[in-house]
Amino acid sequence: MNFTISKSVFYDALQKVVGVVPPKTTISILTCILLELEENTLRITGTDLEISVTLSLNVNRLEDGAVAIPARLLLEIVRELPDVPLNIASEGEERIILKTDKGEYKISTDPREDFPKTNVEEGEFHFSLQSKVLDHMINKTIFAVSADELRPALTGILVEFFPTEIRFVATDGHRLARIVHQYDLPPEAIQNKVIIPTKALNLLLRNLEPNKSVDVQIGEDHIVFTLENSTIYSKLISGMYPNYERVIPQDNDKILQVNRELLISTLRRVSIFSNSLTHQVRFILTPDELTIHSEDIEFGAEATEVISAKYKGEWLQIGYNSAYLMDVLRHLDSEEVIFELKNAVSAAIMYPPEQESDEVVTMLLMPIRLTEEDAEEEDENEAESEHVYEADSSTEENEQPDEGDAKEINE
Amino acid sequence: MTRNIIHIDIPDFHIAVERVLEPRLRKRPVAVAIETTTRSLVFSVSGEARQNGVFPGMPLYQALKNCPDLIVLPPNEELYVRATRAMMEIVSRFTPVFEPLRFGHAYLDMTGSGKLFGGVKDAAVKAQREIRNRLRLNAGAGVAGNKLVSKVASDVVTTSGEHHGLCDVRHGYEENFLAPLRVGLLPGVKKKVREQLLDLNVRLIRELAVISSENLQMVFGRFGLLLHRRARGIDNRPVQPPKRAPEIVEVDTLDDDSNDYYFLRSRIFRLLARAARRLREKKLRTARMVIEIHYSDYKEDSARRRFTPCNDDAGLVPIVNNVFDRALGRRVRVRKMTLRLCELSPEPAQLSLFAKEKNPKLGAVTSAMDKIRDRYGEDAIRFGRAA
Repeated sequence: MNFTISKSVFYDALQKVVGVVPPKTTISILTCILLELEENTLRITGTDLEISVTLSLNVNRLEDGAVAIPARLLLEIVRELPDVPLNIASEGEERIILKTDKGEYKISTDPREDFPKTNVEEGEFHFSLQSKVLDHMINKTIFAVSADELRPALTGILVEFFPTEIRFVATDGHRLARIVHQYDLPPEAIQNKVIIPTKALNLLLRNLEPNKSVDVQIGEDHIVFTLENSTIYSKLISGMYPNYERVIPQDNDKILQVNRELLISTLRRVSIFSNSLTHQVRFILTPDELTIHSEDIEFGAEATEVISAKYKGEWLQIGYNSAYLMDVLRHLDSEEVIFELKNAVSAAIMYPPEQESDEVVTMLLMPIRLTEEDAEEEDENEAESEHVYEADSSTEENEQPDEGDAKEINE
Repeated sequence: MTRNIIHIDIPDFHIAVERVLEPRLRKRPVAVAIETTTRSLVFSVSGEARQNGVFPGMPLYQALKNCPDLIVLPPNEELYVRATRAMMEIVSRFTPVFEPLRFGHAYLDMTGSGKLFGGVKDAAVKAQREIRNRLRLNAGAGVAGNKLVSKVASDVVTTSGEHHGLCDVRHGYEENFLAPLRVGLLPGVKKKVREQLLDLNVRLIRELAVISSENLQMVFGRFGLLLHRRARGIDNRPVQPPKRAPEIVEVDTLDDDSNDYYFLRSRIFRLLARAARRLREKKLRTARMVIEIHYSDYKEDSARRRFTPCNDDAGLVPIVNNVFDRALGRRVRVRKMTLRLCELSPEPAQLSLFAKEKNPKLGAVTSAMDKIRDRYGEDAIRFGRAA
């Protein structure tokens, strides 16, 4: 094998493939990538046996050949080189020499035969999606994926196919992100659902090129994304995804609308004072006002900020993990955000006031159970608010605090 | 900073504790053994019994042959645990860094506490006095700069017959102190090592200390290096307070031994109710249950199970049924039952989307039962079972 390639092109290509190489493995060949040169096309393949990435690029060929080469070593040396043409040539069967005008680097290689072969089986159905759409749907959901290896189904994104829409859903049990995109699918795809591993989707995001179409082929236990210059093959996660639709509340009757950026910046400040383990912040909702409070009892620190918001419900106090909440808010693009709430122990539904014409984004976040001290304080606040409302009862009859909710919190 | 370690040692602890309860046992040969068969082994012996040729580990028939007047007592573990706990409570007042070794033995790290007790020797004397006054137990004490030498020092005191004596080894004199002593006094030098050393004509520690570590390693392997250091009084081990994972333990010692399955099961349910209530009071959940069955022949069986964390009776009852059935493996009468709830974790504050839907009525029942027990006592209300 002998070819010449520009450093920047080669480095970009390596970066797209090396992500699949496992950092620790008992099978040493998996730490390598396979370089195959045939005519003027160099194919770079990396795999961890579950996921494979193959990328093709044009090079100046001098001699065909194929070798497996340690991925991270190659990436590190190429990264450190200046942007000059590189010549990569085999030296015998066990080494390659990477030459620049400044010097040369010799790297031990393994024979091509030792590198695992990826057999891409024919898929059951396939369809095409614009890279922009795919990128958007993955980015809107991937943050909510669980890292809990004990619940493997939650470590991937659920993709559901309906006659006129595709749904991407991710959850870690505390928050849930769902995006529905209007799309006409082939009939054989309907009523199918698959769970795609996060690692494969991250690799796909890295390989996506703007304004290009991606061919998605789905088989019984695998998925193949075919891009213009690369192919990503991944095993699907087997297992039952929980019935997420059942946990989306249907009777949240309290609506809060607040400026998203304002809420994020307030949360960032207030959460500095929250407990470092729970990141708990308290939302206290009163008409047209949202009070955000946090405290760290261990350090005697607390913070309170009041921001204006559109809210016409009853007095309500809810605890949230500020890190989770900020994550959700950052993944909504709109200026304002709507919260649909019920009480202090039910999931909040969050979504932008105006959705895109061909998509619907929905986020869910479970609250933190407030501590007894909070609940006691809540009682006091409730009593105070009752007093305020009694004074104003002629004008705000509908805003009496709900005793039932408070009882639920206390219990 | 120079370290100051005290080793407290109550000689013949089991006998000493029995003698506190039964003064008539004093000055008489006493042994602790399970008296079910004559082949049972002697567990612990008094000094008087030792003088008559009775030693721990000896078959009981042999002990009775050597000493026909021997008084044999059954082991009373509960009593020993209670006495050890009381002793640890006393030593904990002298230092927060103490390491219980076994029944009646503890290391105290007194480093840096000179201003509190006026010197480590004074502290040792005070601790001995406290143990004698409050528990009526004689404790020997060894004071030194490390655990090894303090242990040997207390052994020197107790084996010399001075059960409440004190031996203080000054800093820098460790090797001199150990030199004339028998090698058997070094920790880890048991019968087999002693015999090997005897083959090398080594009887005293000073004879051991002059052998190079390389030569000792040739004979004893890695232990040779340790032996070399010990013979020179070198020991850098820290005093380590007991590491105990938090757990909730409930024990039921039956008034009369029983092998009635339904009776025993009802008692274990009672233990569970108590333990689960303590769990809820502390706002914790458990993920592991252990049941230990102590039979009247002093044998034990146990069973354990891990499960999804919970703290309500309804969730724990099916588990206790299963674990109890597995633990109760014999038809012998049961003397005592212990229930442990381990792997405790706080109730999660972050609510889950997919939490199992709990029966709210069951939660309310548990809460109401807890309130009734708070007001009218533990046995005021219990779970029943449909026939």
